[in-house]
Amino acid sequence: MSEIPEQFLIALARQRGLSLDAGRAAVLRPLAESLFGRLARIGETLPRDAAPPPAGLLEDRAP
Amino acid sequence: MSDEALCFLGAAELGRRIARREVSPVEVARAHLARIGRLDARLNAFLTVTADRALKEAAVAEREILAGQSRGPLHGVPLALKDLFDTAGVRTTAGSKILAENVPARDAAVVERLRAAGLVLLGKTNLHEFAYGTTTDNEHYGPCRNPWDLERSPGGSSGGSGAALAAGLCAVSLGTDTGGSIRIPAGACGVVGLKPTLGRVSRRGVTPLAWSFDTVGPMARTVEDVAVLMSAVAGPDAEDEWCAARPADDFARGLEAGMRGLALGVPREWFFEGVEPGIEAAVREAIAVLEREGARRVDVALPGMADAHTAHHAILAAEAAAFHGPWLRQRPQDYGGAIRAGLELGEFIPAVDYVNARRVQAIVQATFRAALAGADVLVMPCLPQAPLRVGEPMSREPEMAWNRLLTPVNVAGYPALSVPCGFDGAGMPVGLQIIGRPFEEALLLRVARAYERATEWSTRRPPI
Repeated sequence: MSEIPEQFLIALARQRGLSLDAGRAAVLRPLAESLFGRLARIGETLPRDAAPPPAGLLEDRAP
Repeated sequence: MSDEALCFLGAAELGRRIARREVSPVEVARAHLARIGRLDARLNAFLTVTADRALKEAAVAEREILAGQSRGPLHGVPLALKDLFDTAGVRTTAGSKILAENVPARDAAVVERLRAAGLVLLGKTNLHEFAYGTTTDNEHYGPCRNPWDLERSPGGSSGGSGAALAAGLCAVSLGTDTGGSIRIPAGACGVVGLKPTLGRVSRRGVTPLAWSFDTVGPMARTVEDVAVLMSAVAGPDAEDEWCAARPADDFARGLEAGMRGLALGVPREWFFEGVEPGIEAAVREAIAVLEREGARRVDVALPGMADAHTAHHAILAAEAAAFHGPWLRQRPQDYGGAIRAGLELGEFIPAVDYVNARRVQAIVQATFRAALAGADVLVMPCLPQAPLRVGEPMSREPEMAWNRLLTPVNVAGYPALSVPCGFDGAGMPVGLQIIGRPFEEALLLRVARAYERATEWSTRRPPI
């Protein structure tokens, strides 16, 4: 994923009712870039037929 | 017997001696409380010590045993609980400032079971704030330290439990494991820790971290003790819809069945990559020991584990943010900096990415299912490196995270265990991770016991 501007994180936080100042946004930015970058790559490479697990506990499923 | 010897007796052995009236529960509780008083200022393993209550409970246990009213194999045995479990009338902080004054009115389901089994509660142990972290560097109550090296972390989040067990401050403990939080301190402190199958043990009355992964499990110094404690806490709970209907096993039965006829799966990918040489050597030797005990080794494929770690991070962060949302808005300054950042990150995860992480979860489950179709258990290192220094920041990157060999099992929901298998070049304990099929905890314990019986690591004591 490309760079995430700190101002974007601050605006997003405000939209969600959170207080995020510039200093804390600077801490959060590399974490967000790394995680969202990896999630974006997963989104691009997941097989089309991959679905989430069915609801229910493991014991309810066929072995 | 000296007080120190009493404090390092296994819980099951202690229970047998108490039942035979060779030692009294009061004598045992006093010895542990004295040891806590002597050592815990250096370890900071306990957030609350319930000394008066422990002595009263021990006196009750003593009277019952003398009257022939046994409550089972752990009657009168001293217990420490991670401070994430609700305890009626006893402060339960979850390692947080937010719950610093929280005194629950009711015990967690597992605490009710342990009280019914006659265990004596010594106190509540230190943890990473809200169990969201791998070190127990607690910003509000101070860091917990590893008895094997006071400059190092005992791991986390159940670090106080790991440290207390290793130092002989309790006989058994209960932890929780959402991303390795039982197995990390077990590996780092040289004790045994079992993360059960998701749904095997009730979570009612346990502060959640991430509903999709949270598990409650036993920690102790020996495999037998873990098995006996697991038998006391596992089983259905009508008040917890995430708890499986399957009845509890006697997990101690079959412990001595040995390795003959079992296939041991050794992963080709991921689980040995970037592992410190001293740790890899100890784990490879442990695998050789299990082969000499009669196991057949098979290589297994476990691809996609970096994605599993990322999916774990996304699901955990989003679910933790959902649980903490109201507090994060009302009292953000009351969170430690790292936890707050993790929760804020969870707030920003798009729904599409959360769903994609769940799609990865299904793939990970299929991968473990396939690997365990050709092997009875999988074996690998627990931790890739020696315990972090106290205060050293933890990474969540897939290639660097301390828990990267553990999170895939949380994503799958499968059971896993860490058993001590030697020491690394720094003299710190090394854990062997054993993974099994859903609800086959008894088999994991059997394998761990076969290894424990063939070696002498469980008899080593830290130099504290």
